[in-house]
Amino acid sequence: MYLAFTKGPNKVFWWVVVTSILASIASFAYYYSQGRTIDYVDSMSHLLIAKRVIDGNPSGMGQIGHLWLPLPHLLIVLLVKNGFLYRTGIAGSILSMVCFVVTAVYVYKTALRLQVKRDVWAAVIAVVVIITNFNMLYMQSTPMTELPLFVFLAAGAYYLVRWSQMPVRSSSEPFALFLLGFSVACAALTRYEGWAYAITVAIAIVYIGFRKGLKGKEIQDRVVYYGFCPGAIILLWIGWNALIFHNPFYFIMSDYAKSSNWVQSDDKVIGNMMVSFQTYGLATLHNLSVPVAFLSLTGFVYFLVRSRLRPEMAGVLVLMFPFPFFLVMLYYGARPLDVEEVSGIVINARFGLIMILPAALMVGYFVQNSKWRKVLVLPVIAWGVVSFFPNDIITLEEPIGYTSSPGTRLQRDAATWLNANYVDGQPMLMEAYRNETAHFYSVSPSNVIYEGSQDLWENAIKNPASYVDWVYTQCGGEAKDVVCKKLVGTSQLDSFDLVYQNPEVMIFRKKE
Amino acid sequence: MSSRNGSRPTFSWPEKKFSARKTFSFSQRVIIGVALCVATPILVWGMGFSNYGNMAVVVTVVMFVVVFLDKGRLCLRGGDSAILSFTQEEINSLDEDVLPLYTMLVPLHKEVAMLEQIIRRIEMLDWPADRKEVTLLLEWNDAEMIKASERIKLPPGFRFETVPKGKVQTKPNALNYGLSLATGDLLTIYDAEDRPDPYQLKKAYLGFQRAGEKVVCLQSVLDFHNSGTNLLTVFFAAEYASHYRMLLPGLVKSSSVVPLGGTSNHFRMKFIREVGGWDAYNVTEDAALGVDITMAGYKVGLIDSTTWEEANSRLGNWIRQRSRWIKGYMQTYLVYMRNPWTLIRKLGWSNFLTFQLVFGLIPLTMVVNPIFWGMTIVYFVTGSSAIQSLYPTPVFYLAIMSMLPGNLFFVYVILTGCMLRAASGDKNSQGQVIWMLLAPLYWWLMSVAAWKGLWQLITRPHHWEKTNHGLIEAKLQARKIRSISPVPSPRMVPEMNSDIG
Repeated sequence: MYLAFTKGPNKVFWWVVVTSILASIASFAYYYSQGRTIDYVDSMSHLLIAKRVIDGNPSGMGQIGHLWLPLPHLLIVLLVKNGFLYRTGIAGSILSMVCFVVTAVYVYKTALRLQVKRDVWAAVIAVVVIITNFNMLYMQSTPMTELPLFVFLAAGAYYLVRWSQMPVRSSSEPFALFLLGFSVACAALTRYEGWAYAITVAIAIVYIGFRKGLKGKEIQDRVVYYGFCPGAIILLWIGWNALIFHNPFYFIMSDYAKSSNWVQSDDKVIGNMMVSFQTYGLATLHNLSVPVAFLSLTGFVYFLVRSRLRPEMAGVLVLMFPFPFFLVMLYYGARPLDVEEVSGIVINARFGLIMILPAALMVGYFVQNSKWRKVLVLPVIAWGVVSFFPNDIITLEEPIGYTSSPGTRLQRDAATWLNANYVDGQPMLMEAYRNETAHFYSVSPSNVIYEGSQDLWENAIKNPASYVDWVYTQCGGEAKDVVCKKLVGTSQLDSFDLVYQNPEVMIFRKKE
Repeated sequence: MSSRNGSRPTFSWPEKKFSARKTFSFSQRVIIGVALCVATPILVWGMGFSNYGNMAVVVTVVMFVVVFLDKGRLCLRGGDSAILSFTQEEINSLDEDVLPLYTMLVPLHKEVAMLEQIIRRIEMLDWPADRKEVTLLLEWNDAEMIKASERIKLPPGFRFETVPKGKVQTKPNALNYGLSLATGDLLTIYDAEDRPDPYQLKKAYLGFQRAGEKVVCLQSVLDFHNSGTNLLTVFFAAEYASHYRMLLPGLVKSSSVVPLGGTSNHFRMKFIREVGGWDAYNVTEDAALGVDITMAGYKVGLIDSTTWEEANSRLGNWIRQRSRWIKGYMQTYLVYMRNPWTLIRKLGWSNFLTFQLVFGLIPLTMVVNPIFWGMTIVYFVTGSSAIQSLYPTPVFYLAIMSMLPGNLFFVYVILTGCMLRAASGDKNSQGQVIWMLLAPLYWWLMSVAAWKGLWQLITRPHHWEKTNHGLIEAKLQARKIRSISPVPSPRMVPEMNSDIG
C-alpha cells in the first residue's frame, strides 16, 4: 500500500497534516459528544485561570497565578472571553488540538532528518504511532497542558537535530539555535518538565559540539546563545513570583504548591528507586500500549547499534529526559503518580504519555529503508490500537474515576443548586482549590473572591458580611477548605443563613 | 600623480535642499516652545503631574512597543539573502579592460598614524591601477597631516588634495570638495583606519551590474578587527554585526530608508552628483544621504564584502563618536521633518514610518531610557506612590509587556550579532557571547552618549566630535610589534588583541 504514495516528501507531508487534523477533529468530536473533554479537574482550573485574567476578581495578569506556568493560560485568554468556548472547555481543547497537529508535523520532520536516505514512509510510520494512540487522542481533546508541552518538546528536538546537521561555523547556526532556544523557552513556560528539558538540551549541545569538533569556547558560545531565552524565561518566572507573591520560590513553597498536598510521606515510591522505576515504567507502558512500547524499545536498541550516537541522534535522546526526571521526582516525593499495579489507584498516569515522542521517533528510525520492517510494524501498531479497548485508555480512566467520585458528584449537586438560586453579580467567598468543579459549573470568576484575590480575600475571610453575599465552603469529611476552617461555626457567619447543605458542601447567603 | 593644491582660498559647495545648517525650523521652534511651556509648571510645581505624567508614560511605552516590534520585524526580515554575494569565479572572470575609473575619496583629518596603512590598503584593492582615482583629502589647517603628506611617495592613481577653508570643517565638506574634483564613473569613500576586503571594488562593480539601475548605492559590511581588545569593543563589534547583518538587510529587503555607514559605500557617480553630494552641516551625512536616495526613488543594496575598522577601545573616545552619531540622527530627523507631508509623499507611508523608527524613535529611546530605568529603581527601592500613579493598570500591563519581551529582544539582537561573528569562525569573537548578557551596561553608555548628543544638538550642532583612530596600532607599536598586520581575508579577522574571550 505504501508504495502507491511514493510521490515525494511534499505531498506526503500534506497527507500527514490532513490526517492529523482529521484524527484530531474526530477524536475531539467523539469525546465532546460523550461529555468527557473537561473531566480532569485540572482542565477546569486551567480554564478558570485563563478566565480570571480577563474576567476575574480582580482581573489582570496577577491572576495568572503561581502554581502552574502561564503560557497555556495566556494562549487561551482570548478564547475564554467567549462564554460558550469557556463553559464547554472548547477554548482549551482548540489549543490542545492545534498542538497535536503541530506535534505530528514536527515528529514527521524530525524522523525524516534522522534518516540517512530520508525515507518518507518511515517518518509517516512515526506519525502513525502518534495519531493512533488513544491516550494522545483523548488528551488532545482536553484543555490540559500536556499537548502544549509536547509540541514545544517536539519543536525543540527538531531544531536541535537541524542545528546538529548544519555545517560547523555557518551563518545560519544562530537562527537555528534561536529557534531551538525559543521552543525550549516555550516548553519552560508551559510545564516544569520544560525546565529539565532546557538543561538536557544544553547538555546535548555540549555533546554535539564536541562531536562536531568545536572548541570549548565555541561550545560555550552556542550554549549561552541557546540558553539565553529559556534561562531568561525561568528567571522571569522566579522574578514574577518575587514581585507578585514576595517570594521568588512561591511556586514551590506556597501552601498550594507543597508536594505534601498530593504525596503521602509513606508513599511506596519515596526513597525506593525500584518502585519509582516500576511506577513510571508501567505508566509509560499503559500510555503507549504494550505492543508499541515493545516496538519502540526494539527501535531504541537498533538505534543505539546503528546510529553510533551521531551528533543528530542527541535530538532523540533529549526527548527521553522524562524518564530519569520522573524517577527522581517520584523518588523524592516531588510529584504524585500512581498506577494500579503499584498503588491500587491511578493518579497522573498521563505523565507517562510524554514518552510517546521518543517512542515514535525510535519506531520511525527502526523501519527506515526496510520494506519488510515497515510491513511488520504496522500490525504491531494496530495491535497496540486494539489493546486500548475496551477500557484501557489510562488517561481517561483517571478523570472518569474523579467525576464519578462521591465528592465530585456532591460538588456538581451544589453547582446545580447554585445555578438555580444564585443571583448573578452577587459576590461570593469561595476557596478555588479543591472546589474547582462547583466553581467552574456555577459562578463566574468575576463574582468570586478566592485565594488569588489577594487583599480582598484576606479581608473577606476576616469580615465576610462586608464583602460578600454568599459563602461557599467544603466542610464535609476530612478535607475541609480554608473557608470552612476559618468561618464555619464562628460568629462571622451570624449574618448569613445556611441555605444549602450536603455531606460535602455548605452554602451560606447573607440575611436580607 | 601626487599633487598638492593649497591655492584655493575658500571652498563653497551649493547647500542642499535638506540641509542641517539650521537645526530647527521656525515651526519646530514653536512646537518645542509650547511643549516647554506646558512641561515647566508640571516639572517645577508638579501641576497636573499625574495626568500629564500618565500621558507621557503612555506615549513613551507605545513608542517602546513600536520600536521593539518594528525592529523585530526588520531583523527577522533580514538575513543573508538581502546581501549580494559573488563567487571567486565571478570576480576572476571580470574583463579588466572594461572596468571603469573608480574614484576613492579618503578624508584625512589628524590621521598621521593611519596614513601609511590606508594608502597600502587601497593599493592592495584588486582593481587596475590605471583606473583608480584615489583622492586623499587633507584639511587646510591640518599642518601635521600636510607635513606628513610631503614625506610620502604616492603610488600611481593617488593624490593629495587640500580642502580649502569652508563654512564648516566637516567630513562631508571634504567629501564635497573631493566630489568636485572626481572624474570616475563609480565612487567610494574610505576612512583612514579602514581595511577593505581586497575584492571590494570588483564586488561593488558586479553588484551594480546585478542589482539594476535603481540601486545607486552599495553598502559594504563594516566590522571590527579588534573586537577582543576590551569589553567595550566586544559590545561595539556585536552591535555593529547586528546592525550590518540583521537590521540593514531587513531595511534593504523592505526597500526602505537605509542609514548608510560612513565608509565603504559605493555610488554611481551620476547619482551622487544628481543629489548634490553630502550635506556639509550634517554630522551623519552618510545616514542623511540614505534618506536622499529613497526620496529620489532609488535604492540601496548590500554587498558581501567586509571593511575592517578599528573599534573604539577607549570610553571617552567611544562616547564622543557615539554622541556625534546620535546627534547626527537627530539632526537628520529634524531636517527631513520640517515638511512631513513632502517626506510622506516622497517616501510613502511605509518608509516614512521606518524613517520615524530609525531617525526619531531609536535615538529618543536612548534619551528616555535612563528616566525609565531610574523610575523603576526608585519604585523598587522606595515604593513611591507618585511613580505608581503614573502607571494606571492598563498602562502598567502595557509597560510590563513591552519591558519584558522588549528587553529580551534587544539583548537577543546584540547576542545574535555576537553569535554571527563567532559562528563565522572568527577566533577573536569566540567566547564573547556570554559578555552580551551584560548588554544593559552598554545601553547605559549609549544613553550617556545620547544625552551628550542632545546637548550638542542645541549648543554645537555642527561640531564634529573627532574620533581618534590608530589606538590599537599605537598600542602594538608600543609593544614593538609590527605596525600593520596582514590584510584579513574577506571572512576572517586577524588574530590580534584578544584580551577578552
